[in-house]
Amino acid sequence: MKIRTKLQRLVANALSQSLSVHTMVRVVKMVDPDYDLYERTGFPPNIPIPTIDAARQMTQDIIQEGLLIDFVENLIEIHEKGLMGKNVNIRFLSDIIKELENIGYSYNIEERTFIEKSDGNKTVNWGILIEGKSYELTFLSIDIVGNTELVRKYGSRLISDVYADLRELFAHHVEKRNGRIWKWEGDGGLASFYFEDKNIKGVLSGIEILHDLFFYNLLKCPLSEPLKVRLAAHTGPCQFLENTVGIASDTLNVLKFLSDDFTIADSLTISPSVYSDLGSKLELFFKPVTLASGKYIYRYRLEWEE
Amino acid sequence: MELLVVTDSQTIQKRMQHRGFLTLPSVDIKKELARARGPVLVYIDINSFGDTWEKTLVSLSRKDNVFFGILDPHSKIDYIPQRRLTEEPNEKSIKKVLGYLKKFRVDFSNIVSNEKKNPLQSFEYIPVLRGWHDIKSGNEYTFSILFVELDDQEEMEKRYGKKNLENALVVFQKYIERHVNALGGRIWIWGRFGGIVLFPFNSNECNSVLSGFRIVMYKYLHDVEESYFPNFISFRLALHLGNLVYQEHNKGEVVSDSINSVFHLGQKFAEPGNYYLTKEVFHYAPEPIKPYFKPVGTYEGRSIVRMRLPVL
Repeated sequence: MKIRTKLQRLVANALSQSLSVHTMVRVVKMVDPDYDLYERTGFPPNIPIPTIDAARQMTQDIIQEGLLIDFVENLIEIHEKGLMGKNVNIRFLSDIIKELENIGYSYNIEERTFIEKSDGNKTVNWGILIEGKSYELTFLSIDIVGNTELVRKYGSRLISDVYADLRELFAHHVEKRNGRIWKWEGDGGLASFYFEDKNIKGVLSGIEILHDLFFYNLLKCPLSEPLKVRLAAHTGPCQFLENTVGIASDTLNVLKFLSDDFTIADSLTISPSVYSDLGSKLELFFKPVTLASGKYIYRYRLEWEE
Repeated sequence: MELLVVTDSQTIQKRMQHRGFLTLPSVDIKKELARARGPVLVYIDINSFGDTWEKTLVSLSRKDNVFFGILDPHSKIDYIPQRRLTEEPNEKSIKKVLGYLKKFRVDFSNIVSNEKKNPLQSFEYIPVLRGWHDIKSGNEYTFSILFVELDDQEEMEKRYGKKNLENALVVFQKYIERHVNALGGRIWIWGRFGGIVLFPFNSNECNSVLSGFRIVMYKYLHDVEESYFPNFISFRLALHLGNLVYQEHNKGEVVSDSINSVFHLGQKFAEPGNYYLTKEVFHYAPEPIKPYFKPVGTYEGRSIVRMRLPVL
């Protein structure tokens, strides 16, 4: 994220003209608990740091650590709700929000967070997940059934075109619900969802992908047989890494297990933790499948009346 | 020899009159033929006779001075045996005609997928090449006409507050609009609970069929993700291919057989939650989606198919 000088100056002025140095440090510690102002500035602990110098140092450090978005979200929260029972008026806040919008973010009032604008470049972390930190995420995986046989039968050139169509379809439905593509390999991919209703959004994406694939197979697919996929969704904690291909987590292991062992062609399988969050309408799409362990998973498949 | 065209279709009446032919409504055929003294060649529009068309043909075949031809624009059959002009019709030839027509009128759903599309007959369809770009207000064209209407309207009026209901209805209208616009359709008439959508006809394939198919298929996702109604909604769709005079600002004054047909089909024949096509438009449906429809009988002399619904 490239921060303009104007934005940096605005944040520093907002801090210096709205908060004492002591309060500034308290606010910075909300996003970086180990922050030490004296260590950063080199001032001896017994000498007071001028307000403007402290504000500039903290702004610079926050930007360098990639925490500006989190920090501004906290400033908005403090401006609206106060801090430690006191009302706090943060100056230049609307100008700061405007500057963030100019560099591709928009503030979602309901989520109380900044997200990348849908028309801008999409990063895998929505511009807010921090390297190495763990988050509750929902994942949707897609696997092409019979990939090896398809490549052998139709040749890599034709199959590449078909898979490119599938990737476009997958990305369209995921990204329109503010999900992100974390992986796309030869025979499938992985998408993640983070914000409110992440389970519902992941599941709706999966169902709509199956519907669109039905039409693709019927009207557009150049193969002499329908392209079949397996979709699976699971939710749980996962540590974020910018290199998403290298992410390993129990949640992703469970998802792979769900997809490989329990998902049939042209269906979406979801774990109980996803199902429990769907609501009364969306639950009706799924049928329970009992596992040997006695536990349930849930399956959606496009079926037609006779 | 007198020439008579017997039809209740205003479109055909107008076209025939322009060409200097005498046309009669079907109810007057007996009276007119009783009056005739010399030989008469009668063209019968069998779609105007409903279920009585077979009886009418047999009755005509018994008259010495009457020779007849079949006009069936909806099946694209314009059938006059050449011998008929020089010989009297006999039982065998009448049976031949009946057999031919029955094949088209009763079993059309089984043969259309293998049947090469017949070239359009200029007197029946008025296609446009460039869609809406070629449509001018006040002129007559062929359209796919889609009837859309929500079920359970009275229940909705009772159950939801006025403002909530109006907001939910707007969201429903937008859902329909998004799907039809994507395939070249435009909402032409809209009331609170539904309306009429027009798709210009290009003489080749009716994407309108696909549009309705998608509306049905994505309905449940709409219910979950967009709809303001707390329950699953239900609506009827009916699609027909026919001619009408296009008025850009329709104030509900358009008189059209085609519009009447699709309204009757949607309001009187259609079961809640279903999507119906007349054979005229089904003939032009994209081939791959035809197996997802099944015949459900005839209505107002037309064979009707219904979409097989996705099962939840």
